[in-house]
Amino acid sequence: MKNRNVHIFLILVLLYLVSVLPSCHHPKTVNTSFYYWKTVYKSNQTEQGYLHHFKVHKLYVRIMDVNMDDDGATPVPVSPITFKDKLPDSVQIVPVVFIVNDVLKSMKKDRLDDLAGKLVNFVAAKVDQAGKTKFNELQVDCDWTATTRNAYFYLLNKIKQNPTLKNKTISATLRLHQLKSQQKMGVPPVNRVMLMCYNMGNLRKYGSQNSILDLPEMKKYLGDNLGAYPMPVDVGLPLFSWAVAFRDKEYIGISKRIKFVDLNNKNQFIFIGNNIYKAAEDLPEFGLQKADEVRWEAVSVPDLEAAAGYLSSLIKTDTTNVIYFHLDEAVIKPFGYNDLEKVNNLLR
Amino acid sequence: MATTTWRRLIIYCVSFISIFIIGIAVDLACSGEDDPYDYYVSFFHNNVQGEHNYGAFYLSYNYVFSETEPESEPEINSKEWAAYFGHGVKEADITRAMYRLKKQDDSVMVRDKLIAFGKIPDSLKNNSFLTSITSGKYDAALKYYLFAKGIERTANTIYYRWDPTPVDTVRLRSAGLEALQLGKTEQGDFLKLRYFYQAERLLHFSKDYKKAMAVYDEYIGNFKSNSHIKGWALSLKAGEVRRLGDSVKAAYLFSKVFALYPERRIQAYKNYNFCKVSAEEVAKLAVNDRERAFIYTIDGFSNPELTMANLEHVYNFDPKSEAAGVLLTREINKLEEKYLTTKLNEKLTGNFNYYKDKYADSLNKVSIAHLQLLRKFCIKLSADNKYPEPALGIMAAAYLTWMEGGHRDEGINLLNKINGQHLSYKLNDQVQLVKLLLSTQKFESLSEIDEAQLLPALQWLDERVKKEARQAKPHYQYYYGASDQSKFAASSRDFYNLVLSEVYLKKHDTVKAALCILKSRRQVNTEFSIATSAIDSSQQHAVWNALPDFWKHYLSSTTINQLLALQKNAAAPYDKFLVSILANDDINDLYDLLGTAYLREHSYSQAVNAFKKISLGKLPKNQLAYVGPDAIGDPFINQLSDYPKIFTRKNSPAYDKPLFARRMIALQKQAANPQMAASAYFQMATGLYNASHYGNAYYLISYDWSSADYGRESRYSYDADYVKTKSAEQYYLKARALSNNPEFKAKCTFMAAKCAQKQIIAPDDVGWSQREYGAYDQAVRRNPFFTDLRKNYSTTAFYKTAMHECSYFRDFLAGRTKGKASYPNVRREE
Repeated sequence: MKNRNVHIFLILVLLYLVSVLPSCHHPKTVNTSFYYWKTVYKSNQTEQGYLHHFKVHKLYVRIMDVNMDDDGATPVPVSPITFKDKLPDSVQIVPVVFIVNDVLKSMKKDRLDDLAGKLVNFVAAKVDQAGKTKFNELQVDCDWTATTRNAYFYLLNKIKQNPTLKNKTISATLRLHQLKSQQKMGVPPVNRVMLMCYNMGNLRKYGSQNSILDLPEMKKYLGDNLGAYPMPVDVGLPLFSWAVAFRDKEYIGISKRIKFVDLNNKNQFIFIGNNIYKAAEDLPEFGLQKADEVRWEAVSVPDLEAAAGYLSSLIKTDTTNVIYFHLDEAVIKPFGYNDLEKVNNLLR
Repeated sequence: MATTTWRRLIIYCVSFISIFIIGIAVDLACSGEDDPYDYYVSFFHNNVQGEHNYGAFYLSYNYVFSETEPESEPEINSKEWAAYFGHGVKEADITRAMYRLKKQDDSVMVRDKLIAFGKIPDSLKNNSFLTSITSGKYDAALKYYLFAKGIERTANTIYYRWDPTPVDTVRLRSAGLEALQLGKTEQGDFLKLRYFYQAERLLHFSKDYKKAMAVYDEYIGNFKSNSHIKGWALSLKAGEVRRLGDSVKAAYLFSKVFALYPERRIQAYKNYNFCKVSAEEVAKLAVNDRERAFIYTIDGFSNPELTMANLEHVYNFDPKSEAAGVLLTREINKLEEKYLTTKLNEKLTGNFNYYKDKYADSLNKVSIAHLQLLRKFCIKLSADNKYPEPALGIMAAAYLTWMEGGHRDEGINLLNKINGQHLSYKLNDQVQLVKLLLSTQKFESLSEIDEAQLLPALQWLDERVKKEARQAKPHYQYYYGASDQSKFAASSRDFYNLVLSEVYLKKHDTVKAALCILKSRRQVNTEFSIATSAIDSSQQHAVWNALPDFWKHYLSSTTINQLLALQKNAAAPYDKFLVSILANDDINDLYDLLGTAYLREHSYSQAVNAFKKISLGKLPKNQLAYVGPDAIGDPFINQLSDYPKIFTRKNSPAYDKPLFARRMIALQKQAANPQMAASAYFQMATGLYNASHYGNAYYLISYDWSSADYGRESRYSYDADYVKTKSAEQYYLKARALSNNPEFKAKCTFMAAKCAQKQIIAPDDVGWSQREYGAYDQAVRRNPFFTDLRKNYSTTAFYKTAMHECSYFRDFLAGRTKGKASYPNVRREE
């Protein structure tokens, strides 16, 4: 009698487990990468540490911007990266090229052909300077608009057709508004896109919003659009912070010199509330006049977690590539290994 | 066969090259792009002053007039090196060894530092510089040479943004420091200074501007030497100062380089401008008036607007400065560009479609005010007698007097002040040109032109143009190089076309005016600098009549006959001179023009006689008509509608000018016969209508056709037929009067209506736009002959045809005569 009861119990447990198991979802694989966005590549122990800890296989390295020359007619490389050190062996390079939208406005096909060729040549040479014999992916970053869409897509196709890119992946960055308005903005002719989950709010508007990462703002754009996108989507998340300056409530720029610790100096800044600080006196070292206001925008771990949790529910693929912007000691130090582990876990 | 192939190859090559060159000439003539050396009328040649030192800064719409520095840096350096050796080393060899080695020689020498063991490449074994430094007597120089060559490839990079290889700043920096060390230990001053220069230069290129500047300040600035290396080092220091933030000081230093080192003058000028500071600020740093003068000189060279300020500053600070003369010339050239060119081109013989700026009048006031200030300045310049060539002031003042106009003898009186003075040949030439302009201007107010007095000046100008052409060197460096060397040709061209011809026209001497215009076109480097005949058997169809447009538009048969007579019988030296511009090939064209003039005047027999003087036998198909085979027509084909055009029918000949004349003569004879009169007049009317802008044989009386000619205002004497079709209208009415057939009469009336319509002045874009044309739309619907048709011919069969053909007539009949606006839904039929 006792044996039979145990058997029944075990079967019930088994049945229970079997009924419950399908509702658990399979954990996804999360691959971690970083963007490298400085104009001089130098080996840094802290930064290498992150690469090592997170088993980073790919480093997305900004090679150059492309913008119009002073004559206003010729697109040229702007601030191309130079390599003081070679990239570590364990990491593959993904060269990234940022193209200023204006460049595409007046370009006809023959000039786009020319640009594509020069761009690929330049990238290949820089990859070589990085100490790599080859690269498997090229990423193009451009905030294209409805008017430049055709020129941009033409350029991407031309780049793809370049013999240097044979059998290689080409990816493009995708901003939230481009994800949402696929009809108007089109879908770029690439193998995968990187969804830029930052710089989503209105930077230049006075107020206490966080234009870097704002979940309600993000939700307006994502929803079903992410899962339905016709190609694999990687995710970009921010780690940076900055001081946005206003004069008489008008945007005057981003102050590169202000650190958070400066804002807490009561001799220099008065805390107004939320994330706004007011200059107590003229501060020429920061490019500020008395009464100028600064909105400090930063990304906290809870913010990242919330974003990751939300994104996770929308991503249908088995693997998620997350790329953090960006790999710089000052930027990543506030985020310990555990912090980023937590975020990664939420993406699984 | 080999020889045939070579011959064919040569023929192809020669043909290709000639066509290529003609292509360039045509491109230049037809291109929208202005020739930067010939884009305004200029009689005051820009190279009268300061050509060697400041020629690069003459007025131009380009950044600089020329990119070639006044002196050559390699030559200067080679001279210094030759002096270092004392004797035995040729400057050319030094230049070759330092600046002009081929790549393979270079790398051999650098890699192989054992050059002392006789490893100079064979191609250079006679180079006296290389043999000297490897002789054992100049080891220090060898060491320096190897050092400089060794770093050359790293230092001499081309600024090409798409080159992914970054400048090797690391290597440059270490080489710079090495040079500094070598400089410190080097004993001889000559090489010591050069090592320090390399140190500063290489550190500068490595972007260590602070260190580079320190090298200059400590080792070069006070180094006792006259070497130009000090200037090049100063130029670098100025760049360092700018990059380290003091643009005003940098500009000041660049102004010093500009002043003292002509091999780097244009570079210093451009760099001064990059600093973007005001001359006033920079002048505060100047230590004496001479420096101030140079600062305002640079400022003045980059100013394209009319201004007295820079000129006055420079002259006041340094009246001996050659740059003052150049600035003065620039101001005059600016007035030529902004004021004189417009003034002369507005006239009849100038560019017909010259666009008159709506602000032209106020701009003119500004120009005149400036002209007067400038003239005052010029007179003062002469009177002060400080400027090296004070006569320049008098000559310029006289020219400005001419430019302003309205003065009788003032200009000549001014020039008389410098009579007998010994002038430089350039200044003297300029004086002659101004004298010519002033005498011509004087003749305007006299009843007769004193041609005997004018002749020597004109002959002088011709000679001057020829001499200029002989001295011109081929220029392959820049596209418009030829015009830069054809100043007198350009002045001569503009003088004959815009100045002398005008004087003759005012005196109603069309013959001489026409000859002036032809002479103008025959100056070198113009499109028709050689006469070409209309008769060219190598062409597939007739070429063109190469006479000037003025001739084709304005000359009557009387004038042309006078021209021909003058050409045969010219006795007075002046007349012979003028008429000599007519070449043999021109005579054929002239007879063609005469015949055409007779056609325009309806003198058909005389037309036939004139055409007989041309040997048509050499023309393809023996036809005298300057249009292609698809545009040649039978003008006696009558069409109710102008489009689509019927050019010829089966069995109807294509008419050239002589054939047309003969046919009209025949019709005139027929018209004398009452039985055939009506029909003859109708055919003549049709012939005349078709020989107009609207018909299928416009080429019979016009050498050009433009859609803009439709219903335009009359300009030329033959516009009465060509644009207004007045004779055609008269003949249609004559035909009508001579007939009793109502159908025929109706048709005549309709044709007359067509002619009357052409007399309504049409807006420029008529037919090209769907907009309302106001009065024109009304007028075409109220054609006087419409009333006539309705009243007298409404019962004819033709009436229905007329209604079908003409929508304006339909509108008229329906009472829709207010134009398009009243009936927006009316379908417009073309």
